[in-house]
Amino acid sequence: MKRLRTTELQPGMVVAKVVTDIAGRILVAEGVTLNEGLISRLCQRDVDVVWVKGDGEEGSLSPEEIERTKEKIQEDLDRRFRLVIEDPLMGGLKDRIFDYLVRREGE
Amino acid sequence: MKEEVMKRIIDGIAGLPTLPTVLQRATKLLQDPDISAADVGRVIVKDQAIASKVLRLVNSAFYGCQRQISTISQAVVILGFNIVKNLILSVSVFESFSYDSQTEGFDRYRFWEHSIACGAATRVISRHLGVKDPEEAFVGGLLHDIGKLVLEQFLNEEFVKILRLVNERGVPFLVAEEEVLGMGHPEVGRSLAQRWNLPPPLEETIAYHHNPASAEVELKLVSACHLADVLVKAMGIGHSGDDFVPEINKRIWEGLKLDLKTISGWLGEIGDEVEKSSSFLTLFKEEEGGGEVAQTDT
Repeated sequence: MKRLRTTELQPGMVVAKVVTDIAGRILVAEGVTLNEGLISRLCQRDVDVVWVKGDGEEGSLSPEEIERTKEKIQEDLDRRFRLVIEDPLMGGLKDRIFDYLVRREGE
Repeated sequence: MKEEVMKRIIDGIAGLPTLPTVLQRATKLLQDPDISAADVGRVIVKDQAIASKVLRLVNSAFYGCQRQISTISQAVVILGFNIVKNLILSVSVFESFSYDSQTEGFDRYRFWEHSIACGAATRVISRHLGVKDPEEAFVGGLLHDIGKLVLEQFLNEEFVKILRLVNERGVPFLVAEEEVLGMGHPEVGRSLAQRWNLPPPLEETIAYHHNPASAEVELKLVSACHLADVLVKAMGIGHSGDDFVPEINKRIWEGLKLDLKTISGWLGEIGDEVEKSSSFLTLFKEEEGGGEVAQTDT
């Protein structure tokens, strides 16, 4: 099993772990063979990484991958909060949402 | 300008089907104290398309039933008439806006994803705020942005201009609407709610979700929807025309004595509820369904 960025996926690869969106909803089930349509949909839905079957590193995320995931979450939040970030309440909310999304990503 | 826009909206809305007679009949039946679940089931099952979708939803994880529900009467007995009635309303709205959208830059799948998530989040927040009818709250959240679909369908040229302003100038959808139309989707949605005779709390939720302090009938429900909209956008679920997180209304924040710790504590529950509500997305794309037939309640 190996972990690939969505941009590295190829048609024919088999999904090794269920792919969910940011809210945890299933986008692609385990065992599904990817095709171009599915890969394009995963890109559109902002899925960052997918586990596929094959040789590669097993187990949990590397520290670099965890860092990259956090950076991506932060970047998305910066974009979404850009009009309200000067407001202290909204700044505080952004931090809480960041903690929640990082926790959820790790589960 | 505003009068001309409103006239076009009202003319367009007049062309939309009224909500199904089955909903009106079922609502009337509820007011009769001697009515049985079987009677209600018999009325609803007359519209097979609606009944089969309602049955699919009552059996979804969102309602958490331990056993399979196979008839509308069973659904009424197990879940209560209120849930079934709100499901009929939700299904009917999806059907009314099931036209084929070709608007560039507007993804209706992601629009419904946002709306459904907002419905689920409104339901969770409503429970915490003590709103008397959390099921109605779900429908309120689901329909809060319905005015945008009215604009997309009946004022498409202006709708495209609004989307362009959002993307090119980076302004929120509501600001772009005011610039192009002189009015916003809450006002447009309210016209539809009136045309459909939706209950006052739902009409208020649609009209005031950006300005909840103006609500008069059900302030807590409208506030729940406002907060749900903020949180769902902050979590990046779906897309309702722009991806800007709106500012929380300080009057309701202080009035409801909220704090960030409390909101933080709701996020996990909202995430779980949003996950369970994804079955509603099958109403938008009938990829897996279509062949189901509701069991008759005779």
